[in-house]
Amino acid sequence: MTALRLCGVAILAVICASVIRPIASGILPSARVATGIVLAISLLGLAGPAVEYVTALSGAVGFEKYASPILKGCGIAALSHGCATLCRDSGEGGIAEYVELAGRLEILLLCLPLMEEVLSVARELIEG
Amino acid sequence: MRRALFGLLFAALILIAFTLPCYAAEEIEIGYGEFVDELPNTLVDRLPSGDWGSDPSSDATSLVSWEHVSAEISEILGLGLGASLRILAVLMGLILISAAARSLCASFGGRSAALLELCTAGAVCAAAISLQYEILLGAADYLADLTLLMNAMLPVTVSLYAAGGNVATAGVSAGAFGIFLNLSENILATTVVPFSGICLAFALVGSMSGGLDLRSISGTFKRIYSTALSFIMMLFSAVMAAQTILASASDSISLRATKFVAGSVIPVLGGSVSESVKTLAAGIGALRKSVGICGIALIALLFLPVLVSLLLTRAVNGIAASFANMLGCDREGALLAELSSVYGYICGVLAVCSITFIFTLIMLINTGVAIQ
Repeated sequence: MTALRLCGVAILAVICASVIRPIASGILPSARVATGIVLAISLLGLAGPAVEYVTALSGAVGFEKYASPILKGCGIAALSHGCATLCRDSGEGGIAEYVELAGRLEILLLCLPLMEEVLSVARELIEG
Repeated sequence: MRRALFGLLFAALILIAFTLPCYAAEEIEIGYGEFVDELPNTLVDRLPSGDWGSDPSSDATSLVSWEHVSAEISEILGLGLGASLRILAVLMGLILISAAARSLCASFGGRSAALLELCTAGAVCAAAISLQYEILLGAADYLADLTLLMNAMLPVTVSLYAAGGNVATAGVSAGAFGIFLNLSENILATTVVPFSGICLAFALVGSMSGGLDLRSISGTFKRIYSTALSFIMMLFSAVMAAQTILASASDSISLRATKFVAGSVIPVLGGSVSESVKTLAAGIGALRKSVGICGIALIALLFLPVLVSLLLTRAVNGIAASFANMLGCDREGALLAELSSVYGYICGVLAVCSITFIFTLIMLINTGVAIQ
């Protein structure tokens, strides 16, 4: 889906939500979550070719192991942020905080191999 | 008639005797062959092709010839440029990806974006250090090779001083050489790499922590190290120069007195002794100049690849740092700028060490032969 279509789907969802609210407000959270999931899946499809291109390019040049954590971190940050926003919109702020914490821990885990490589080289230089 | 024939025969024999080469000469043994055999392996591969290592004069000429110098420079630049451009391409690619990822995640706000900045800075750090680790080790290898070269050069310089009658100067030179070789082997070669590692650690902590700026501590540490090193080298050079000049003057006085006594006391041949000593002195002077220039050319041949590699990598880090700052990747820019600065200091350390050794060889070239 292109950005235009995504915007169209989002506006349609907002209109539907405003129509449904006075009639059946109980199903609004579920509708909100469903719309968010559809949009997130569409975004993955939109970003997929760009990520594949960068991954292939970095693999060809030889710095895949450095570019891969950046791309994964980006994806995790986007996913955790989107999920946390959905949770907050549904009135579950506590769950949103845990989702964001999980995302941050995941990004930190991605950094660990890079830190290890850097610190091992620094240790070898200092020890001589 | 018979007398005339005998006279002609005798004159012919005398004339033939004059045409025969007949001279008194002594071959000056200075250990040049052993010096050539002990050259470091990295240097042996860069020597001119052909019959090198038999005569100091022709060796020095071939080392400083335009063909050899231009061939060496073009080879070193070609290899160095290729490797440096590859490092630059990798760094700039990573910085581009980092900048794109940061701008995408900046919209999320909060701590996820900050952690992603840490991730991107870590990726650029790891790439920069792992690609340039060999270059840093090359600096330590250069100091080890330089010490090997000067260890091999020491007996030759002492022999050249002694052959020219500069006996006291030979002693002073050997002592000074030995002290500086110890200094180079035990202090310089063992501190250059840890110094780089410590500066690198400061840069890493500063870029990873974000709020903590360790550049001032790192700068102070670098200034202390370079000041201490410069002071030691300056002191060493000044003391060595003073001792060499004094010892040379002392040698000159004592041998001139000896020459005067020989010329006055030895009947008939006293003047000839004086003249033949002058010829010998000229020969030894030419030999000293050849060996000195040979030694300086060998140091330059050893230093040039390392210097070009360090300068190119410094330029690459500087360009990548400017590129990172331009794209808003301040952490990566600060780290790469610090790396560039560290390479500059390493260049300075190696240059100071090389120049001090070159200075000792210049003392050899310029010290007058005492037996003149």
